[in-house]
Amino acid sequence: MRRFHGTARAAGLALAMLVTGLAGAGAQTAAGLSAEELLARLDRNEAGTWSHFVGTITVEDRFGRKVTAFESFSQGTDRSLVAFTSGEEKGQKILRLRDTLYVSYPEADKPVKIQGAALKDSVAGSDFSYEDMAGDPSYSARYTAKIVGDEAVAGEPCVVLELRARGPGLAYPLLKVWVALGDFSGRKMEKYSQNERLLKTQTVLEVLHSAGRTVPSKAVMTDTMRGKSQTLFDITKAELDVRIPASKFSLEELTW
Amino acid sequence: MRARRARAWRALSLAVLLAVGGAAGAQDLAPQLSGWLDSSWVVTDAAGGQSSGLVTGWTQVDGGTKDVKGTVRFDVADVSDQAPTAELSRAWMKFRFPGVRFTTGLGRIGWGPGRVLVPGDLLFDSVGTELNFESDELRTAGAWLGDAWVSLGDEAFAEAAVVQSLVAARVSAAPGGVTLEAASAWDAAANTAKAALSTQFHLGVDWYATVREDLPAEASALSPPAPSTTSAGAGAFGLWTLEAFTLTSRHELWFSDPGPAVQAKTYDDLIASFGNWSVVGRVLTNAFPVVLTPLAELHWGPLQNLGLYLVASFENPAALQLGATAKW
Repeated sequence: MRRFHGTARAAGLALAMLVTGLAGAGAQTAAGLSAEELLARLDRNEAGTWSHFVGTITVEDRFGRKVTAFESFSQGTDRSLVAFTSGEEKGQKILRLRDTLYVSYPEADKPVKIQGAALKDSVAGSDFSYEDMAGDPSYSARYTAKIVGDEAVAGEPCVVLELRARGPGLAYPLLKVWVALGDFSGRKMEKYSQNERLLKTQTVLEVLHSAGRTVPSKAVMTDTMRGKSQTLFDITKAELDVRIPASKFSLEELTW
Repeated sequence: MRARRARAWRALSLAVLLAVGGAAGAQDLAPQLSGWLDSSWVVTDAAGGQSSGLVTGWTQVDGGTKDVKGTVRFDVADVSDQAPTAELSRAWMKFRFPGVRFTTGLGRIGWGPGRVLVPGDLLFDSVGTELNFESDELRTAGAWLGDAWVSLGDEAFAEAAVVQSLVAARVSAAPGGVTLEAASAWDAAANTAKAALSTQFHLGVDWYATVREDLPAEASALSPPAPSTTSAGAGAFGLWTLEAFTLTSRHELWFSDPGPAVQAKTYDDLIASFGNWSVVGRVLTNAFPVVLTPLAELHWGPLQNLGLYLVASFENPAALQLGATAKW
């Protein structure tokens, strides 16, 4: 139990970044685009691409500071594999196949399927939950959008979109997304509860450009329910649009 | 005859292990050392008149390449008034080709859903309650085995295994988010056929259920076969968060009817976590006759790889177990 709920400390934050739409695309202008069109651009940022990241996550809370290294692979928005390569979580892996998450631990004799209630659990004590990682990354299908303002994030001019759930059952019925006018990448996201209470804030601090795309290289997530806590996500190596074998995103790879 | 067969299997496993290990060694084998240690002290008399110490742990070396991996592990134990022991507990090698993976050596494979009471595990019969809850591995007993795993799609696979005198196969798939697993086995030593059907799904909380039949074969034409054993298991797991607190609860039930006497076990736990602290209430029940084993535990993780714990037993409130676990 301790392992299941407290040890995957670094799991899949790269994946979570991708799922929550904070990756970018080629430079275009937002002039003349409606809220729904902006949302569609945001969705398209990740479609049909492969990514390979190496980096670290740093959890800072009242108990101290903890750094864990990871390596992640993703194919579009449906398939991802994250492996932890240092610290307490070394050897642990998280596989996402569409909406299903599996976690494997080096000492365990079988992988664990993360579903239902367990999706709300913190990923390795970080500010990310498994639900943040497992949710359907396509916003257009699940949310309606309207433009509620504009605001710069880290000096980047952005349009602020308010997204409201099209139906019940979503973890976050209300989202606010800051979409960069330059490249249509997400630069900030706020996640709200049913009664519109702010639950989480994710902010991109730095981006890097590779293979004609823009991706966040440094970002921070805070969970307002966790008090003085934040999780810093830092990519040290990024390879975009390099073909990754489909076998990488499989139960076989997870338990290898 | 059985002993000869077991020796032959062990020798075959070792031969494959060494052959594949040698091949891996010729490539970019990068061995890594890891380990785990649990040291505890049990005070059985409040006045301090009786006490005992216990150290258990393991250290292992892992290495491999992209398609070949191996592990060797030694378990160590040092109990008060007894000589320390060290025992080889893992010595396995696995290698893979696209969509297929083979494992051989001394190891352990987990089948069937569940955590504490796992009737779907036809290979190791994981329903015993002699467990170390302070360890990441509740059960560590391994065996000489060979295993072939074949991918049948994203969330589907087939697997065949030989574990000493037992030959088994299973198929698992997850249509619509519901995991289904069908397994069967033939235990030559016990002259018994086994079959199990398991499912895992989410409905409010996470559920699993297993039904299993153990069917002894006819010993001879003159003697009637022993009665079959029907067993079933079910479990539920829930997790709730409130501010910085996390509350989890697991309930598992195992039932077996071997004919003359019904057996049943239950496992329940409630864990409240806050930061590096957690409070655990745990109850294991053996029925017929009913034996309750309630435990209360306090855990604190002051460092990333160091944990301290205190366990109190309601059966014997004067007995306290103080311990520390370390991982590297």
